[in-house]
Amino acid sequence: MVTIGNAHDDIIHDAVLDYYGKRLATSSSDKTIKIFEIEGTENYKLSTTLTGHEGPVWQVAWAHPKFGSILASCSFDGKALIWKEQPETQQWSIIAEHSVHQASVNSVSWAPHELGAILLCTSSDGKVSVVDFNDDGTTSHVIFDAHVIGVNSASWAPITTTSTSSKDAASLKQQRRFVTCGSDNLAKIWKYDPTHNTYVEEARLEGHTDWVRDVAWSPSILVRSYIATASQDGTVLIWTQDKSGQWKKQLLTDEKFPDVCWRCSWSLSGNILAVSGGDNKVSLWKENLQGKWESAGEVDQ
Amino acid sequence: MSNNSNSNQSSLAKFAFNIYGTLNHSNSYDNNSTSPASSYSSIKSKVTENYDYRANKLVYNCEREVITLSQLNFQLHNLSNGYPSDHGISHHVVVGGRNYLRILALNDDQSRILQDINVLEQSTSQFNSRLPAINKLNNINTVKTHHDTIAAGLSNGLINVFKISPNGKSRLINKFSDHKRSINSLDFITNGSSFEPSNLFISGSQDGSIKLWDLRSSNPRPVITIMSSNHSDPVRSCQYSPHSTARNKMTILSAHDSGSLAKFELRSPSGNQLQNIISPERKWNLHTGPALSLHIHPEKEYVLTGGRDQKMCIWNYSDSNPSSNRVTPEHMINTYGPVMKVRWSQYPSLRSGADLNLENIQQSNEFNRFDDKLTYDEREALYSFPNSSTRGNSLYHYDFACSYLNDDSTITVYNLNRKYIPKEVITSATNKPFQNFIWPNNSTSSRKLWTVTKSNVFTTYDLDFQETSQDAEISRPLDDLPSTSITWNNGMGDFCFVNQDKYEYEMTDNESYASENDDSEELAIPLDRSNTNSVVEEEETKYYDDFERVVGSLPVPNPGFNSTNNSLASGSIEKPGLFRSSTQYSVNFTKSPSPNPRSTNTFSSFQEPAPLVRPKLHRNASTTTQESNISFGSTVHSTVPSSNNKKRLSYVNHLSPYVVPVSLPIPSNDDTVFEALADNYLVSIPDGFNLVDVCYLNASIAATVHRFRECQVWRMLAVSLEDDYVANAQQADIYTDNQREMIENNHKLEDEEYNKDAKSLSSDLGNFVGSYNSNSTSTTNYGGAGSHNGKDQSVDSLGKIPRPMKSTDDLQLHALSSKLSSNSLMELIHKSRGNSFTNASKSPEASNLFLRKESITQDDKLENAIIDDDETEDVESSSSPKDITFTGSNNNHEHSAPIAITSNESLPRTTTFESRYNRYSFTSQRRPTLTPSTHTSEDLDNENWNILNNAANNSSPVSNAIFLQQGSPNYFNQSHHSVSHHPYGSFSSRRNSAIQPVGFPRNKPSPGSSGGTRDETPKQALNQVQEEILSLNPSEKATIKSGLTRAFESSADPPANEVLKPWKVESLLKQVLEYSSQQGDVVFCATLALLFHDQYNAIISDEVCLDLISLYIEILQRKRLFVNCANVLNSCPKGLMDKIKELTINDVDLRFYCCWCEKLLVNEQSKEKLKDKRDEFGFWYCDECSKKQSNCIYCEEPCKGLTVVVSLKCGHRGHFGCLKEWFIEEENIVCPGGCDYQIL
Repeated sequence: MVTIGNAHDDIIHDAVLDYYGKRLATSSSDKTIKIFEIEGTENYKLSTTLTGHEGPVWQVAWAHPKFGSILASCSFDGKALIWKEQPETQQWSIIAEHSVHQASVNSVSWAPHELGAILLCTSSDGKVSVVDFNDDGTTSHVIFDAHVIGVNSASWAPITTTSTSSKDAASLKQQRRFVTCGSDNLAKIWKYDPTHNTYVEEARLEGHTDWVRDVAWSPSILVRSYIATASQDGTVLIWTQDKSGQWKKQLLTDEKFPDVCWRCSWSLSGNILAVSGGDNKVSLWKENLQGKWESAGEVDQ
Repeated sequence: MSNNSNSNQSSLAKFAFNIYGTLNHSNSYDNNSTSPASSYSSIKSKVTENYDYRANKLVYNCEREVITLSQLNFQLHNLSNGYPSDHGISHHVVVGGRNYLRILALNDDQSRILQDINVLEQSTSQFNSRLPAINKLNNINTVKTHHDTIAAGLSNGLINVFKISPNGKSRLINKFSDHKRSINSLDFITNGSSFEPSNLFISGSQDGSIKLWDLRSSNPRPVITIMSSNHSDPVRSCQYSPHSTARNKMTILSAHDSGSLAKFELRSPSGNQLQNIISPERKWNLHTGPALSLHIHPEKEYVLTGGRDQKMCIWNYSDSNPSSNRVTPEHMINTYGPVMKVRWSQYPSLRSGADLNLENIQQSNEFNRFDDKLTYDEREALYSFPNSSTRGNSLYHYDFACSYLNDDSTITVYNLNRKYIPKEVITSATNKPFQNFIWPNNSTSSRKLWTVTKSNVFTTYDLDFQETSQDAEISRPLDDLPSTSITWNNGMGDFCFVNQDKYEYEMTDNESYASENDDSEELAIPLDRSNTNSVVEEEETKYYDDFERVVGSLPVPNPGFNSTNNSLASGSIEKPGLFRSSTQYSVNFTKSPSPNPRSTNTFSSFQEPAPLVRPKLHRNASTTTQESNISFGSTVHSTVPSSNNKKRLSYVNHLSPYVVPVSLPIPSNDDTVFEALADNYLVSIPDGFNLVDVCYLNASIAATVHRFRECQVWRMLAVSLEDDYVANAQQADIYTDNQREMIENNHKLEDEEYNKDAKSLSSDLGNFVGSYNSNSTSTTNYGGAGSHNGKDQSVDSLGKIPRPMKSTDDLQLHALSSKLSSNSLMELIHKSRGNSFTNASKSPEASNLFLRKESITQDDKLENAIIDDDETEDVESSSSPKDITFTGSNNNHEHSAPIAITSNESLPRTTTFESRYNRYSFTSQRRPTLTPSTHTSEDLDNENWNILNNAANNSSPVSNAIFLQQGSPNYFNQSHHSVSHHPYGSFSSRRNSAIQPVGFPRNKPSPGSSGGTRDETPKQALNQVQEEILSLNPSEKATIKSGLTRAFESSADPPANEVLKPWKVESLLKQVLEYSSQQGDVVFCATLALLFHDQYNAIISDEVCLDLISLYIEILQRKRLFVNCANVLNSCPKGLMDKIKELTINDVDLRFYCCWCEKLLVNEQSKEKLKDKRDEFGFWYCDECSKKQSNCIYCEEPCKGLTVVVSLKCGHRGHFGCLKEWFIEEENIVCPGGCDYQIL
């Protein structure tokens, strides 16, 4: 337990480790992003403060290192910013600004790196946008309506290795799949539609009775493909696809969580789910061999 | 100007709820909030003395459009069903609008409307005779009251002033009409007290002027006219500064359409006095758009302004402000919409949300003392205690609120302690925008809001009311923000999370206190504080008693602050100097008595009852840790760090935010173990080794890092692999026999084999019941048996120090094996590799024969020497009869050395029953590939089935095989039995005893399932096998089906008839994979995939293998184990190599930037022209500046090709070879280009 006190002037909304686990990026209501270098396990050294947003910064996301030291952030000000560190000078600068949304951008997430540098943004204006950062330095985006009241979060489907055998752009694009969740109590799975160059709803996950706050697609293909949705209604649902392709839901716990479920995220190997709730607890869940989800621990701080 | 931006902003604002949370969500739970006013007022009983808060909300529907409201602090008597107020002061509201001016007379606690008085209708006016139409066309734009006076500014520039008599009657006393345009703002000039009558007031108008009026004057002309600039700059808001009287000044502030804040001094006016026009003393441009509202801080010379630029600025306007010349305001709050109205709260906010609930009751008790009988200043003094967090800085005490332009239906309450997140957000019940609001005075000094909406509803809110947390219209955004954030690290179960006490941010740092202190000295409020101080201290002690009581009853007492401070001082925090107290501190300190430094005594004593810090701070992680340690059987390696963690976590309290790295104590999550495994696991089968050996080696590696479960799994796999080999070998034997009989090829070797078969089988039978325990030394020299011995020993010694495996391929190795230690393990592997190489390379063509002969001779010798031992050992160790081991190992030799295999095929006779047999089975199963080693995927029963298949196909050799089987059933089947069933029996029993304590999680290959087979007598087994072989019909197939069988049936071409054999490699592998992928053990899974993919294609398909390997590679990369990563890449199954490489290696794209214009070289144009599709085209040429890239700085040749170009930091580039020559061979350290760039 390491204090990073005095780092931010207000509450931290997101903290993300980079690919190698050597840096921690935090984003805060004080409109800044801070980057900490981690030495060992106990030493978090503040290395950079990024300012540029005009509102609380909700989320940050590291891009795969093959693209360089790149960080995406999204804010209440309706913008998503892309930051890049110059390797020589270690100076961070904004290399792109994505401001097509009319309201707060609630989440940013990079696509699996095999698909290229693609950013997925969700916004309170009910729209989802997918931004392509092309090799030639240009960007292009597709924006579409996803959830009526607002889109709270999104998560990319993992890439199955066998399907990436063909590397041409068209077939790579067709593998784009992600799940979004919104304030309409739904989660939706989207798939790229090459004919209209947009994304079409592939499945609709209905089951929550209140806003779906977060959604996470298990990143690993090691186990079955899971989607976890955490909701304001105090429940977490685990979705799996049966043989016919239908998504089936399963309650993570029979009892409701004592408070709102804020975030959920899968471990790298995809077999542990961490759920953080309004009670400031992080609980971990694991599927046993009988297919039931059982607690693998709870961190209460 | 910005309709567009406005709409954007308003939609932004609208969607703020989405983020800030749950303005709407609780609607589903609580619909009470929308109930009409009548219900409140009618239900309300007259229990006023105790301030019953149950009906704290008041809703009143005005019939007409209302625009403005003000509070009338004047006692009205003789109200219908009214009652005399205890406090002598009653609070009423004046609501103004289009042809609308009403007094809503409220009861004492402002929960009921006792009477509403229509001021316009009942006013008697001294102008009545002259202006009979006074009651018409009164578009009241703004209303201001003071004492018994109501001033109403009209949109046509008129100002009407009314006097209210205690009986509620009103009369129009003055009409001022000097303004040319709409009156936007009115303010009385007072000394701050609302009880002294005041005759002076100011008015700000759209015409750009502020005029000072005297009510006593009969002259309808203003006393003074103030213009902020020569051209008219509409006054949006103006206010007289009540603090200015302290300095014997009359200061007026105004906010203008230009976005500026102007300050006027009436006593020392500047400007053209002849025309009674004063120009501002100071002017600050605070807002980029119009500034729409201002409000002066109740205690200090600070003003709050709000503008359409979505900002609120807090500005120190005092003369003494040293920084009054600076451009940016002292505090700026970004809101989510264009700000319409801003208002400071009348009363300080003593508590933050954190402790609101905890102490609410106490609060209300305490606050009953501070009723309105105290003067404004007294009250102010009471509230201006310097507390630790805002010592002397009352600026931070007061909340302020703003409402928004356009259709935003919220009022946002902020406090400077936390300027980024609103303290409260109030949404109108009807979702109609708010028109105006005020913070009313009230008898409980609680933070209340009176609002009028654009739907003409007057509503009151009590922000301090305890139940407001359930009020759907009031939300506290902070409560709706999660305070934790998790992120997973690159490990298998490592993550860290950031946690924080949300309320700890609500403070300022010490520096600002200091400066504020200075300010407060200068801005001393005209009041004799010493009078009140004693009172205050009394209050204090009282409060403290209560406080301690409350604390004492807290369920979870905490180590407290002292320990925290200690830990801080001990240097565990990065910046120990900057001490940041939490809100809970401020809970304690808000009550510290006086603004003066002398209060330090009390202050220090406060630290004692301080254990309120984060009462919930405790952590369960330790229990989790232990639990999972037990259940997972994790080892010293994984427990040591976690137990450390545990200690640290339970004793040290840090201030937030803090990062908590957590390492889950699951077996697959230990970095050192992971690295050891990644380093040492054999991921490919070295030459001269077979899969069995590799499994044993990996088992020993797993054992060295205390992964006993994995170790056992590897061993089981090895055993079952051996089992398969043996079975295959047996089949092979039969085949040889068949061949021999059929082709009449009496090969000497096979003959011998046959003889030995018979011999050892009989000895098998003889020794069948030999006790296992008599097993002494390992004697066999062949791979299979040898490893069995090794394994037996290790199994026996399980729980002790894991022993190295003895994987012996030949005598030499066997001789060495006695000296084996885990240290020399790898060495040994290399040695044995060398050995087998020498063996194999002696005579490639005859290698097979040679090997075989060699082993036979060895075998013979050995048999002669220790024949008894040998045979006993064989049976006792339950591995396999001698001869079978022999062939098995021979086969292994053949298959592990490709040369031998070729020779097999070229010399079909000398061999090679094995490969022949394989060919048979392949044809029958229609397998697409014919890899030499796939024979292991066929098990005994399968083969029998295949044989029968072949028989059905009338292939002659196979019918011979059947004949043979039938002809010598005893010999074959018994050997079969002893090989496949008996060993398992003994193994399974041992395994169950040995492994169970380690927590082997699966019971599928349990003794029960195998028991039946095991206990069968040889005869029975024989019969069973016979039956199975001979009576092949579908029903038989259906009787015993493992999941694997089913998988086979669904996928494979010929349905396989399988006896349920849980120890079979396929089923084992499948379960092992399933289990460890469930456990997230990528190392294990991927290693399995790498090793077994080729041979067990049905279990580990290409897809699974690819997934596993690429995941493994990804994790290796994340852990920066690039060497291992390359190793894994190189050991990939051949068929998948290309795909894997495509997935991983292509990830790194080298990009070049033009050395002249520094643009990325993409050269799309040239590519287009030349129709060149290559990505890497044109790295020596730049389209942008049409220049060739510089030549090699050393040899002047153009730099081409990705791998040969090296770019120096000075921009010069050259061929790798050239630069190497320059720098390394000639030992230069400067760039060859002469640019003095030094390379170190």
